[in-house]
Amino acid sequence: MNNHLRTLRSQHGWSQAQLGEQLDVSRQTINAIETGKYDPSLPLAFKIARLFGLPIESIFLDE
Amino acid sequence: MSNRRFMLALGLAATSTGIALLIAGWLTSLPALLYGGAVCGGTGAIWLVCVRWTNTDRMRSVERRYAREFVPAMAAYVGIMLLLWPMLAHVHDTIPRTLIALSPALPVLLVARSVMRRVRDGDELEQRMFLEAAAIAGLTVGVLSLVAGFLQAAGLVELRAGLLWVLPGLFGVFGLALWRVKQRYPDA
Repeated sequence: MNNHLRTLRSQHGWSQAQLGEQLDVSRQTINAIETGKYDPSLPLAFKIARLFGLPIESIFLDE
Repeated sequence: MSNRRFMLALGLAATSTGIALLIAGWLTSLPALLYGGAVCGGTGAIWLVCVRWTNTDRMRSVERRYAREFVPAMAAYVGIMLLLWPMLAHVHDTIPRTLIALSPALPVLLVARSVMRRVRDGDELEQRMFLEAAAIAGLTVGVLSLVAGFLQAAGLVELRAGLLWVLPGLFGVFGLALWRVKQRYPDA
């Protein structure tokens, strides 16, 4: 699933490790989501949306 | 501390311990020390090689807790196998033999507990990778054990203390399988 996570993270000036710390996941998980290798669970997707203050649909693109 | 630095420290500690045990074994001609030295040194050398593929991320709290729980428990297991287990050859009464034979069980239980907590508290992607690696390990060791059992039942091989190799086999295959599964999520 494509997403704008890397763009949003860069806009906030966060590293993958820093974003992972805020979401309580590993840096590898952040990297896997950004590269489209892994789709997050619904709770994690909601957590990401809440962190960036955006609706889920604007972060994760339905293919 | 980063994951890589931790792996390097672990590898150096195990390799140094292995070398010390080998020297002690050579000087005293005690087979247990030579065997222990070979296992420790060999394991340490493998860890040092693995440093190359270990990421430089800072250890998360769940990883630090795993290291705090796993390393002392494993060190206690190795120490017991090297120092207490050889006494079985010289102890003949049932109760002391039973106590010595079961002495490695407590550190093994602590190792198992540390692994279970690491798996339970991993994030969702880590848990998915742990599951896949555990399935591969379980099936591989299970099938190999069954094949060995068939051969033993047919009288073609004799497996002395074969059951002792099941858990180490599971851990070993799990580690390899986890490394392989992680390759599907390379750093971009």
